[in-house]
Amino acid sequence: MYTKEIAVGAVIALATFLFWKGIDLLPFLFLAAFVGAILYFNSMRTGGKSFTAPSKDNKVSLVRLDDIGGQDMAKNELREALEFIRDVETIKKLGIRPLKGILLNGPPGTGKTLLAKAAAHYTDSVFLTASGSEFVEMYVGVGAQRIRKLFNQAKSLAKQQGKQNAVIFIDEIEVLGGKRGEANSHIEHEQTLNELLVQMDGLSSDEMVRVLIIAATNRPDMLDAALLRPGRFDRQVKVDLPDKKGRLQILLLHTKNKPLAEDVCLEDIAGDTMGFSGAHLESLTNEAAILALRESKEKISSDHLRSAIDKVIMGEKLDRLPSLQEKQRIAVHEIGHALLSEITTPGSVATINVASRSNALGYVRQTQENDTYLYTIDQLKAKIAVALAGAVAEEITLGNRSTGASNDFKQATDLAKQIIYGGMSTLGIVSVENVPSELLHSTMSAILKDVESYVHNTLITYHPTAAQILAVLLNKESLTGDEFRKMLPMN
Amino acid sequence: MSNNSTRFTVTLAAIILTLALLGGGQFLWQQYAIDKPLAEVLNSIDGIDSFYLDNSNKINDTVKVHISLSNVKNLQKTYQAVHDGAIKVLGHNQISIFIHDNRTPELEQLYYTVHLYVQEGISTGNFAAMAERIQQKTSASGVETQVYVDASNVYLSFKSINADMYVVVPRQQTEVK
Repeated sequence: MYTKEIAVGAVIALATFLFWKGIDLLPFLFLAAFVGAILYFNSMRTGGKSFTAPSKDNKVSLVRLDDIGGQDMAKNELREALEFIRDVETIKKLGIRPLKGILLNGPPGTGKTLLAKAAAHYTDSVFLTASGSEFVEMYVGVGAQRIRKLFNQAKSLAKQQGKQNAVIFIDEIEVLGGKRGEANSHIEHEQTLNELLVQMDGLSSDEMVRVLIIAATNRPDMLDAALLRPGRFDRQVKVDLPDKKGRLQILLLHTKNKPLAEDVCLEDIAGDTMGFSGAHLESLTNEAAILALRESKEKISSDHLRSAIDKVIMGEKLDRLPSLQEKQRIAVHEIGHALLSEITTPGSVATINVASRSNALGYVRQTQENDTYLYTIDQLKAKIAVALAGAVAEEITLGNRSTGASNDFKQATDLAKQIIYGGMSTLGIVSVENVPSELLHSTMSAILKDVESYVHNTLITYHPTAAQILAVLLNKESLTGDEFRKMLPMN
Repeated sequence: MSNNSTRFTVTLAAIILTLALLGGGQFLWQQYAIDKPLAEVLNSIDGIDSFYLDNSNKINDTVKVHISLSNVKNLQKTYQAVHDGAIKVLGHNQISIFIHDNRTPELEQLYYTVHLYVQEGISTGNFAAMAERIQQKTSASGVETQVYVDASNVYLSFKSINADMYVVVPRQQTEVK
C-alpha cells in the first residue's frame, strides 16, 4: 500500500548508514543519476508521457450541461448517449449496447470541449483529455503506445478514484484519425489509428471500468471511415454555430457575472451577432467589460457591447489616419453601402464607421432580425446591390471609383455565382462543372450590370440625402443605425 | 490524519526501522564475527597481555589492532602470529598493529642511540654487523636485547630489570611502529 514510501525510507536510511560507516556515496549518486537520466529520457522517447487528467477530484469538470448556452440539440444527443453509461442495468434489459464513442463535429469555438467536460461531470466519470497532435512524435510506434497508455491510464485512474466510468476526450482527432492510404498518410500514422480502433473495439460494457471516447473535430470529412462506423463512434453530434436563441442564452451565461446597464438589450445583441460562435460571444462580453473599465464606468452599457461587436469582428481601431480626401471617399463609399442596405432591407444597418480597424478602412455592419439560412433571388440581388453600392456612390459623388471596392466586387461576383448555380439566372438549371466559363462570365456580368444600374438610379435619387449624411459622418466618424435612419427622407 | 502526514509517518518509520536493523546487524556482526574470534586467536599467542580493535567505526578504514606486550620470548613470532590471526579473522590486509609496552625513558633513550645502526643495517643489508653493534651498545647499559630480521621488518626487544620495550621497524618503509 505504501510501498513507495517504505522504499524511499529504506533508501534514505541505507544511505545515512553507509555515510556514517564512511562509505563514499558519490559514485553511487552519479550512477543513480545516470540510470535515472537514461530511464527518464527513455520514457520521454517512448511516449511514457502521462496524459493530462484535469485534477484528481475532477474539479475542472464542474461545468454542467446546463452551463452551456445554446446547442440544445447537441446537448440532448449527448445527454442521451451519456444516460447509457450512467444506467447500464436498465439499458441491458432492452438489449441496448452502450455507446463507445461520440464524435462532436462543428466549427471552432462552438463549445465542443465544454460539452466533453460537462459530459464527464454528468456521468461522474474520470475525465482524461488529449489532443490529436499529442500522439504524433518523430519516433515510430510512440503514437500507438500513447493510445494504449491513455486507455490504461483512464482505467487505472477510475479504479483509483472508485469510479466505474471514464471519459477520454480527444480534441482535433483528425490529426490521428485521418483517412488511411492517402498522400499524407504513412505507416506510423496508420499504426496509431489502428491502435485506437483496436482499443475502441476492445471496450466492453462488462469491464470494470466503462470507457467512453468523446472526440472533437472540425474536419469530419478528413476522418477514416473505420473510425466513423457504428461500434466505434456510434453518435456524431453536430455542434453548430448557435442560432439567435442560442446566442442569447450564451450571452446571458457570460454576462451573469458582469454588471449590465439598464439600456442593454441582449436580444438585440444576439440579433446583431449572426455567425458568432460561443467563443466569439464570450470574447464580445469580455471586450465590452474591458471597454467599460477603460472608461471607468461601473456598468457595461449597450454602446460598449456594440463597440465590442465591432472589435471582435474587425479588430481594434487603428491609429492609421487617411488624408481628408481619402476619408471623404471612405465615407461616401460606406454611405453608399448603408443606403442600399436600408432601402433593400429596412432596419438592417447597425453601424456605419469610417475609423480604420484591422484591414478595413471603414465599414457598415448589418444586422438582421432573424437568422437566415435560405436566400431568394431578390435577397441575393439586394445583397449584390449593397456590395456594389460603395463603388457606385464613389462614382456618383466623386466622379470615379477606387481600389477600395475590390473586396465588395468579389463578394458581388460570388453572390452572382450563387444565383447562377442556384438555377435562378437566365441560364436556368446548370451543372456547376459543365458551365462554360465564357457563358458563366457573360451571365454574371449581366446580373451585375442589371443590379449596378438599379443601384446607380437609386443612389442618384438619394444623392442630396447622402451629402447630408456625409457631412455628419465625417464629423462624428461613426453613426448608429438609428441615427442614420433618422436622416433618411422616408422616416 | 491526512494522506500526506500518513505518508510522512510511514517514511519516517521506515527510516527508523531500517536504521535499527542495519545498526543491530552491524553490532551483532562485530560481536560474533570479529571480536569473539579475534579474542580467541590473540589470547592463544604468547606475550599478549591485552588487545583492542579500533576501526573508527568506518567500514573501509584500516583496522588498528592495539596489543599490550610483556615478557615476549620471540617478538618476531608473536608479531607474525598477531598479523596472521588478524588477517584470518578480519579477512583483509588493511591492518596496522600498534604495540603498547612497559617502556621507560632510559630504554627509549637507549633505542635512540641504536636506531642509527638499525637504519644503516636496513639500507646496507648488513644485518649481522648491525646486530653485533646493537648488542655491544646495549649490554654495556645492562639491558638484554634481542634482534630479529625477516623479509618485512626488523624486530628489537629490550628488557631491563623492571621494564621492557618492543620495536618493529619496517624494512620497506620509513615509519617506525
